[in-house]
Amino acid sequence: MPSSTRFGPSIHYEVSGDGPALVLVHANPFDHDLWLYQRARLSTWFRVLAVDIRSYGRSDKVETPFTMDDMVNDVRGVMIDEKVEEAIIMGISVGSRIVMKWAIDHPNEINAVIAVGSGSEPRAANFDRRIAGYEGDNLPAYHAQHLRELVAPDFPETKRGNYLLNLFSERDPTLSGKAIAQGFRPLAVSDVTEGCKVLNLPVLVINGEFDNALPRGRAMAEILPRGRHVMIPGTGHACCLEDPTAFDAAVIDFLTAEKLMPAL
Amino acid sequence: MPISRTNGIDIWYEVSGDGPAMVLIHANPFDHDLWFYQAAHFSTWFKVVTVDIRGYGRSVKDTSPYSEKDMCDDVIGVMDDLGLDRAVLGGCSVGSGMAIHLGLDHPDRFPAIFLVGGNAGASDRYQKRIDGYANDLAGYHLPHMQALVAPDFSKTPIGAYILNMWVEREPRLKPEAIARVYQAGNGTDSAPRLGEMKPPVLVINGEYDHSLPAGKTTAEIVPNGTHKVLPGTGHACCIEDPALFDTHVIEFLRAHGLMPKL
Repeated sequence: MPSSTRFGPSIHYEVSGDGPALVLVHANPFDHDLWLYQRARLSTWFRVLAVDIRSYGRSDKVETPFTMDDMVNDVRGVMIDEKVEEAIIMGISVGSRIVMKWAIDHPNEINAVIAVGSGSEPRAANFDRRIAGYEGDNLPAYHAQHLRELVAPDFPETKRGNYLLNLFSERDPTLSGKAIAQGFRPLAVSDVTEGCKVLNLPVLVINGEFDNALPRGRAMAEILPRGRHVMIPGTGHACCLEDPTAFDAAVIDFLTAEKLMPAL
Repeated sequence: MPISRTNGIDIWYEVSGDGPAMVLIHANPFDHDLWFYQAAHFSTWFKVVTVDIRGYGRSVKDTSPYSEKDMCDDVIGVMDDLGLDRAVLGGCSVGSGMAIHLGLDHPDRFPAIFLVGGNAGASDRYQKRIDGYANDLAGYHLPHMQALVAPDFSKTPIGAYILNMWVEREPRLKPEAIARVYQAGNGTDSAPRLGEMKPPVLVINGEYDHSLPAGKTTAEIVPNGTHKVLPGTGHACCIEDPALFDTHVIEFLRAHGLMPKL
């Protein structure tokens, strides 16, 4: 089973395809399978590394405090173990913050960034609610509710939406509410605004139409010297799962413009 | 690189999750990503291994003649490389024929088998397919895939997205290599041996699947067979209605004590 322990906790990841490296970092409260469409589709051209961030999937459930630097290093550890020298990195929500901080702190390791569903500033109040939810006594109920809040209102009622969200609920027995709660704390205090202003890398910022991070995503794209923004209509925070056609088109257009799409 | 070279040729495979093994063999004219929903979903409980059969995906585009048994040996080679003694086996169409063949030849390595299509004998359409690819690969590939799903599926946004993934991979395909897959798959008739099948077998057919009658027959002849029809889907029902497809597979595996606990 592929996992990296380079920076401490065991971090599980899965590999699809071959070609230049594309690293995918998921959102709370999903795992690497948030990217099931992109893993398949983008593996046509890329070696796709889809990581379970700490506390999710098959990675270690870390119930003691940690920092955003720890979360960045978890993913970098996978890249180093896989002998990848430069990668395109794409993340959603907390994954977006991880890839932005990674690009700012280690720009020579990165070709381009795709940041989905997040801004650059800390948002402590919002995360207090999540921490209380996951530290409560009914993880399955809170998890299901949280998943539904991250997609467009109608998506969970569709057959496909119900199937996809249920996939993450079925994994509840492997989750730790305490570990998930810990994962919100570094995000609540992380601020990458100053780093964004001087980041000399191409960055595509994506938000779903119903994503509450939409204004913050737009603002982040504005301050990035090489930033651009795309909004995906009819989707929420988890837009890559909801409308993979529009999502992938935005990613492929961006990578084509940056001359990072390989020819077959 | 996840490549098995046991038979002297390159066979590409991908691995998802961990747990008891599940090996999945795709249909013409797809590749291992025919199982992308199942690789994600079943990886909750299983180490899911999806193989690109010869002629497809990143596996060798073999243009010399070979047999269905050679293709089965490719799958055994992947299992041996990964140290997998036993695996739940799934196959669709030509992969379903290979799964039947593997279940008959290696009953101890496959505790249960699920088949999509389930035709144990030859197909009467294969020469038409070979000619279609030889004449105009790019013009034939998408209409062929569209013929393998329910009439409306390829018109839905998600259906169009999924089928387009294989259109984008056409530069990797070769008509001569696709012809060899059809010739190998049709060169073996396992129908007379079905009565000897030891593992339990689930056969799933889409309502619009041209293999439905043959699949039903296979489920009736094998000693421990179950048959399910997926309404509103075609031959490639695992991408069309993954919710109901997966439910049938999970129920089947649970009935045989093969669903791991989390």
